[in-house]
Amino acid sequence: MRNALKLGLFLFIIAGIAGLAISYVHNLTSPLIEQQMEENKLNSFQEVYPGAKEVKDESKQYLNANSDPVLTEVNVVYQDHVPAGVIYIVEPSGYNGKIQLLVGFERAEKKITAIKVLRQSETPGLGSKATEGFFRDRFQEKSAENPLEVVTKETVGEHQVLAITSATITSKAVTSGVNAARQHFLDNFGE
Amino acid sequence: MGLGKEFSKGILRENPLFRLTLGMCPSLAITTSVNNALGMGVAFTSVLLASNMAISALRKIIPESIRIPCYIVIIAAFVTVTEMLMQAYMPELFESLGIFIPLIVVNCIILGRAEAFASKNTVLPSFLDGLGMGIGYTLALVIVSTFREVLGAGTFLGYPLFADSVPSALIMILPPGGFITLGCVLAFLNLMQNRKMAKRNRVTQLRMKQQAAQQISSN
Amino acid sequence: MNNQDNLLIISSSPHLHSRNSVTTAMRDVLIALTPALIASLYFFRLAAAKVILTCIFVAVLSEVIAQKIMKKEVTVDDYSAVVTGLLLAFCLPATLPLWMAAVGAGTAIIIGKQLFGGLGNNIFNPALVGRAVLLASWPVAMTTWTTSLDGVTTATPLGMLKGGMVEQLPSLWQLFTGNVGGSLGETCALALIIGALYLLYKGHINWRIPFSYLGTVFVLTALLGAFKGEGLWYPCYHLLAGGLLLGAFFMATDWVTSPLTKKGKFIFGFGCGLLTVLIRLKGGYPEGVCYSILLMNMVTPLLDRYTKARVFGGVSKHA
Repeated sequence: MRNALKLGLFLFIIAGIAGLAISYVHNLTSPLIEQQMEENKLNSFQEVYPGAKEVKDESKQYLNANSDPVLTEVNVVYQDHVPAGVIYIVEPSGYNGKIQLLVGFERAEKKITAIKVLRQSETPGLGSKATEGFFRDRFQEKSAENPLEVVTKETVGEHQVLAITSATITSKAVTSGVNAARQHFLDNFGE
Repeated sequence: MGLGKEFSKGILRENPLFRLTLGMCPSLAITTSVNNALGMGVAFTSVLLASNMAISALRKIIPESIRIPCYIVIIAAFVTVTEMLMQAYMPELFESLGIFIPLIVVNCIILGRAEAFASKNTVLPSFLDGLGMGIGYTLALVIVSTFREVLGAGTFLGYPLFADSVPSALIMILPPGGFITLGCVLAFLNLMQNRKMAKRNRVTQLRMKQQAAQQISSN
Repeated sequence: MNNQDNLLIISSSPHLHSRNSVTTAMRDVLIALTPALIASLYFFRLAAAKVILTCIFVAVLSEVIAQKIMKKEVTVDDYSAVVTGLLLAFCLPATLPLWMAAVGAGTAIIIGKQLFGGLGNNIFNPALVGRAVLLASWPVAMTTWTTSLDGVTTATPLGMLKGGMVEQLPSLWQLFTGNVGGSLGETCALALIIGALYLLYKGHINWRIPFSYLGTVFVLTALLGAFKGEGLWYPCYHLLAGGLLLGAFFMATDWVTSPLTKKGKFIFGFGCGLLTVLIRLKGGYPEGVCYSILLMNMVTPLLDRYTKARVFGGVSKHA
């Protein structure tokens, strides 16, 4: 019994020292890490919505149990204190798990400003091309009025998006995420 | 064994990946690019150095019956510290190594060195052992990832090597490529060792024959 | 390696004496593949000839080099490398760059066969290993199909089925004669069936694997088709389209990588069929013959072990 107590105490002390060391490093690094994450977020917001300065996360206000589960964050872009656009974070399911992407909309012309894939685990060299510029450009400046449609040969209508060669599933996943955001945008910011 | 040997054994003779075949899972997963391999190797080596030294310093205080939990706590603390430092100062590398940094905790090489070496030796040899093992592991990762990155992505350390018209063999940066590369490297090393052993055997046999002949002639 | 004899699984006696050797059997396989070879040369012309010659040449060359390096007896004269090269070429598209075909043939022989210890010791069908590696490496080049004869880029019938382009589907008759997009040797069902009948007649392959394989695919697609409101054409289509006939008759029946016992053969065929249907209908790829045979190759040793006939007069263990 005494032995067990002694051993327990020893382990406790070791864990305590380790904990102290970790908390010290945590204090040292956490402001840096947080700052980086903030900066990254603002940078990527500006990539999908050029000129965005004042962005507020209003997910609580706009997302509830009934909204599309693909939508994870609604960020409203303010210009002169008026909501001028919306940046969504959506997570549609791709070929290999979730694809996290940003979709920006502008209210004045009801169009997509740009999209950006934040995180994905698609097949390297195929689906992973969704992160590249050429595919991103296929969504730029599309109207938000009509649902987008993926085609594999050539685009005819304005609402069509050309799929990545041999990665139709990924292309469709990204487009479905954009469509979900688009629907929410029309319903809530469309007037 | 001399101190020099404590250091050098981890590099080839007892290379953790190629000879002891420990830590296979992270090795297969992160060797898709040389950059990742180097990053993982450095993170791994620093954790191994720190844990080896701490454990060998504490080896007389740590009670025998709870040594494994103690080792795990110590290793986990160092891994967490490394993880936070990487996230703060090398965010890009941290992003690409992802889940494999926390998994260093359960990497069997670190626990294995703690149990097999650091708990029985003083601080200096443990330091050298950790350094050798760490460099050996990093070297092994770099070798495997060089094959995979050059063949699978057509780049080395991110620099393109071939013209765009030659599409690279994607399979090499997919999981099967890891298994194929590691298997081929292991087979090659075994072949080399077998040849060496065979040669040594022949030499000793020859010597024994000569000795026997000498004995006969001297009789 | 002293107890290697114990590792050998042999079906129980009585055994028949036969004058067949590996060489004559492989020669018969080549004869059986000739109709399909002619069909592919007719439909894909020079492109087919180039890919086929490259595959065979590289396969034979790799076998010689590998056996020389490993200091083994060189056994290219048993035609097995030729068969591997030809079968690999049969499941490649006509437009594949020749150097990729060469990589595939080299991989098939060196990684798929020689590194495992040569003919008789390989776990996987070498030609399919080559194809799987190529498909994972260069998926775009491996799935760029052209129509036979005119060489226009097109989707395969299975790709159209998957992509929902039902109105473009070629007719069953076109599938049967081979006038569709697809790999070199898989398009002409008629030629494959003629070759298969020859092999069955000669007794080189057993009816059990192809029968259970094709039967499973037919029944499952018929059921699922009925569920979707499709008629009898749907299962027939799945039988004739893609590499199913080629795989079922010439690859799943590979002597080295398929089970020896009768029950094992049925299970093997059933497993291949189930996996093929699952991949075709639910998976990411339009075609699943290659992967399903490779997957079932892996369980072949287990199937052999658990379906081994009880020794005559022996007492069953769990009686």
